[in-house]
Amino acid sequence: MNIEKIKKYRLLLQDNGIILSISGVLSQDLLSIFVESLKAKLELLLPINPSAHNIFNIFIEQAQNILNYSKTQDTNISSLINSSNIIFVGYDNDEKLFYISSSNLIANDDMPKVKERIEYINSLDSEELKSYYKLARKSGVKMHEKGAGLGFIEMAKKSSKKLEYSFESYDESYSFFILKVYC
Amino acid sequence: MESLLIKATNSTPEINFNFESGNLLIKGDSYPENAFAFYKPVMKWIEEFIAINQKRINLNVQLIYFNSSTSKTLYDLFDILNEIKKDDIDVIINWIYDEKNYSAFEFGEEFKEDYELLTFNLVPNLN
Repeated sequence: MNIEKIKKYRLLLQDNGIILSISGVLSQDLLSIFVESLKAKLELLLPINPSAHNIFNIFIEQAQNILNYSKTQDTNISSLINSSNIIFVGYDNDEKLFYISSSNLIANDDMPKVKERIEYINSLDSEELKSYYKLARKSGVKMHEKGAGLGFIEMAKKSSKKLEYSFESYDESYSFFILKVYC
Repeated sequence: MESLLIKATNSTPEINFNFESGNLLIKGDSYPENAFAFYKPVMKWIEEFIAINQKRINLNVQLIYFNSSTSKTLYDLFDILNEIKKDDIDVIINWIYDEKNYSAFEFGEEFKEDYELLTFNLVPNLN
């Protein structure tokens, strides 16, 4: 990146209220360090605001979704996938809300089920979400090796808005999955 | 049977399960990469404890930040305790939450609704 591009990148982050920007390699160790430093800043800034806790919940769910998903990929492409993860924590000045957004590569084969799941969650009101969360936690139907399959429901529960998402085609096998969740 | 002690890290809670007293504590943050792996020895200990101890269990859960797979694991843990409650073993769960942490309070409330058989106390932490 040349100096001009760095300036533009910095302005882009500023204009979007970004307080934390992670791109490239992510690990559980790094995640816990980010959580600790965010905690120190946000607990001062939002001492009695419940959104501080929601920010952490949503941030952790998005980061661990990416961590868990990336590991299930083929090894020949995994380095590429790892280096293309992005997570932002920002403040939207128009909405007066914090948001967490992320992007990672997912297999095109997995796209329909992710889309279906988010659409279903977005169709529920807050009472229905609560019941669905309890049901999924009890039955473990969406469980996989490392997770309870509750991440999207958890984020929707903690959010004041619907989950925003998009898929951008990368190649014939993979697409970028982009997720934005307001607190 | 020995007591179970696990020190807290940034992303995993302190576990302090005392065999003699039946006082069990889970305290701190809990967002390990693999919650099932982290809680596996904890669940195993509880199951062995129940098999030997038929007196009482007093579980204090004091969590601040935790991820959804921890929530699933806690549900399964409470489920085990709910089963033995039916055998008339005295089980008390104290869900200790920071008053500023509405999220933790809400979680406690939802667990309480799921386990009506258990003595499930929501306890504000005044510190």
